[in-house]
Amino acid sequence: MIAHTTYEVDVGRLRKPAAIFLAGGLLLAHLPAGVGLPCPMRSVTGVPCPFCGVTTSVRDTFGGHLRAGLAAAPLGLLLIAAAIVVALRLGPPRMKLLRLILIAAVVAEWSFELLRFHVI
Amino acid sequence: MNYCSQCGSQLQPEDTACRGCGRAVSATPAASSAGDFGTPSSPPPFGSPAPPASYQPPGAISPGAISPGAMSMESGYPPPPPGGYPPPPPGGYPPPPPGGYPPPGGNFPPPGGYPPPGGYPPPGGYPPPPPGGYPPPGAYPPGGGYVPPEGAYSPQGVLADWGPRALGLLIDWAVTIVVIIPFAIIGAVIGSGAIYLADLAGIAVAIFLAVQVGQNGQSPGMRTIGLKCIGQTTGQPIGAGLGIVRAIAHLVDSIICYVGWLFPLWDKNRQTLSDKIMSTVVIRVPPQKFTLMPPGA
Repeated sequence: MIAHTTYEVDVGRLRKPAAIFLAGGLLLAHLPAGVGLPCPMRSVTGVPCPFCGVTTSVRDTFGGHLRAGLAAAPLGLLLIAAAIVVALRLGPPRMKLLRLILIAAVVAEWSFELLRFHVI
Repeated sequence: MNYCSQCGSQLQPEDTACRGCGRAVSATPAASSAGDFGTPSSPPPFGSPAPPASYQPPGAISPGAISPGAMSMESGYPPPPPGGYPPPPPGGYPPPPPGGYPPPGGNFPPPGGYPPPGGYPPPGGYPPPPPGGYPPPGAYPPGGGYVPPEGAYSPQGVLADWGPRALGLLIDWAVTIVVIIPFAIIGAVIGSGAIYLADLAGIAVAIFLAVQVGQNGQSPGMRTIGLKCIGQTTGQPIGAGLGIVRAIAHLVDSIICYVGWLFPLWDKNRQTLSDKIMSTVVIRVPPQKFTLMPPGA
């Protein structure tokens, strides 16, 4: 079963992207709201995807509104924390994550967004 | 004493032929006495059989002047030394040592030099190749010590990173936009149903690029950057049909807030979600000049 296997993440290669992500988040906090790419899934179907709200969450968090960021998407805060760890080389260069945990995290985040947008 | 004129063997008085070589012996009074031959002052008469090797006519070369390895012109063997071979030592020759005589020095292998029976590895017993395949030729520096070049490997080659793949995609998008713009202008001028002309042109370009990726593994942007899309297990382009399916599978990369496009950033095989669905990888190849059609097409 795929859920019992591990997914290897090349963390060492994510340092630059993580730094760019953090810099982009800081920049986004000073830009007017609404900047960003619209989610194709939500634009077409009206149903948010699992990652909808992450941009808003990152912008709110970097803008000092931690509660608003958490309310938009908990995954946004998790990504910021992970990006700091990776950019500052505080973690291992490679990580093996259980796919079950990854799938559960995505499902949990999607459920949160579906509730937030009153789809369910 | 008589000797054979051909081989020099000693002849008995009653012999009519040499016991060594079979040459007929003619009995002549001059050759019947060894003393006659041994006397330099009395050479054999003309027409008599040749004297033995020990005979020295006046002015002849002494036996010591002939090299020991000199061969007889007729038999191929060196003539016996003057006076015959030395007699065996008293008590005879010593017996051979236990185990026989040692081999002469040369190219004989030493005893025990062969591997013992069963010492070879069994068929199929060799260690498997390292996972991830071998590095490409030329990756070994001449100074010794393997230094793997930067990048991830697959059995088919060096996997392409996210950056070059994004650049190749941008070039393909540029091609698409350049083709779409005239159709969009025409559609705007004509109006009514022609407004979808640009959309149709965009779909046609997308199919054109997808077929190229499927057939040759490269779109114009991938050729320019030096990328090739191949099957993860086959190492070959996936074909036109699956190329179109892969292009449709890119919707999965886009539909979740474009997160699927970011997967090559952290994925071990540098695959997007559509690559995982289609079991394809994108590898680095030498870049080529920008062309809309593949070379040779």
